[in-house]
Amino acid sequence: MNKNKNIEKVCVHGEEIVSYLYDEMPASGRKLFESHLLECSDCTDDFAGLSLARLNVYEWNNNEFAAMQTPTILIPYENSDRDSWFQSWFGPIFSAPKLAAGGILAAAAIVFGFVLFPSGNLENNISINEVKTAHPTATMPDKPSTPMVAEDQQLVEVKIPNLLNRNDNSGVTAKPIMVSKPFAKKRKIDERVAAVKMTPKTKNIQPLTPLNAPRLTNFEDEDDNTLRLTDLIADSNTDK
Amino acid sequence: MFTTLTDEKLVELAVSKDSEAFGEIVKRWERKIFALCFGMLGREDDARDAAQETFIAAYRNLANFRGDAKVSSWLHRIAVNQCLTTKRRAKTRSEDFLDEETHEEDRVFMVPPHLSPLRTTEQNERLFYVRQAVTSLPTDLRQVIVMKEFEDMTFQEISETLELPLSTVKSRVYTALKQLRMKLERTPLEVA
Repeated sequence: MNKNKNIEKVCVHGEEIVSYLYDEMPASGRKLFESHLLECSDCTDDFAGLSLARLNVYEWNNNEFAAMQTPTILIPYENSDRDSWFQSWFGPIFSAPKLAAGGILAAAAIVFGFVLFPSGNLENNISINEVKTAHPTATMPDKPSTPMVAEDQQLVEVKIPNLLNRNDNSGVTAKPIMVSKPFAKKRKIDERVAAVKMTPKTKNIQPLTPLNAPRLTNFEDEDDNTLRLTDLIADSNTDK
Repeated sequence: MFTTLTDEKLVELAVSKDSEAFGEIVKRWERKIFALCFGMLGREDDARDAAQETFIAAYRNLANFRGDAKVSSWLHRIAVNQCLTTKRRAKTRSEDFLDEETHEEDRVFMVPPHLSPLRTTEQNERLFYVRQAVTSLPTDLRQVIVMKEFEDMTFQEISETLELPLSTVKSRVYTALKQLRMKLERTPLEVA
């Protein structure tokens, strides 16, 4: 606290002066400060001096800085040489939201179409059924459970257009398909698989071994006239 | 002719109805009184009005000027009174919703300072000195004055930003303004 020499009054601090100057003093403090200024010429002069200094800075700010346009900030981002092929090809498309949405919808439609019609078109599906009925030996399970069968089915589908050309509108049954040897082997396996699948589950399966067959443990004890492998080997040795 | 005379001598001449002497007083003090009004009112328009009213009141009360007082203190007191009157009037106007009309009437007599080429030159020169004075301040003082004036931050915000006590920030602003005043008083444009 400062004491004014001329007037016996407690003068204000510099902190209070700047608080008042920048309008950051509470209303009650402002009234006291103003009443003090009216009575104390020293504080008034001090306040006037600070006000002048502030005005100069304020004008400097207004004339030089406030009038300036805010500069456009340009950040020199490094160009990435390692852009992926996906970014370089599809980057412009995905940068446009509408184009990206359209592309996604088109892709979804194509995938949906493949799911609904996996073999290409309806005509081919019908021809597969015709081939199956024309060749009872080539019957296969509808849904192949092994990769081998699936491979076989693929080969049949490829040959469908030729079969259609031979039999169109004639009502004549199709000739057997000429297949290579490995393919025939696969087909036999398929037939066995199909036969197994066609066997009713409730049917009693005949055991391979008869119930009255001698056990291996007491085989020597039984009278058995069947031909044995050891006997054959022994006979062949004696022949030699 | 009047430039070499003291303020007190000019007042004596003005009391004897010398209008040119009073004109010299206005020329010497108009900016400082405007600064004081701006400091009290915080708005340029209000400050200009108050400054004009101050000089009109001083001219009307020349006879009441005591010779033992400084002219600066006398004008400052009139200016403070005028600012307080302006504030009271503004408060009443805002309460009575009569602010706009009266303000427009007052502004008719105000001449925008930027229209005068002489003032523009003076202002440019002044800005040069102000820039020099601010940049020559110690870093801690320059920092707070820039944050206050250029970034329009409150004392509390500066205190939080610089992690300094509030009282330290205020005293630094006070010291900065004091030093600026002293530096600018030494320039040709701001002779106290």
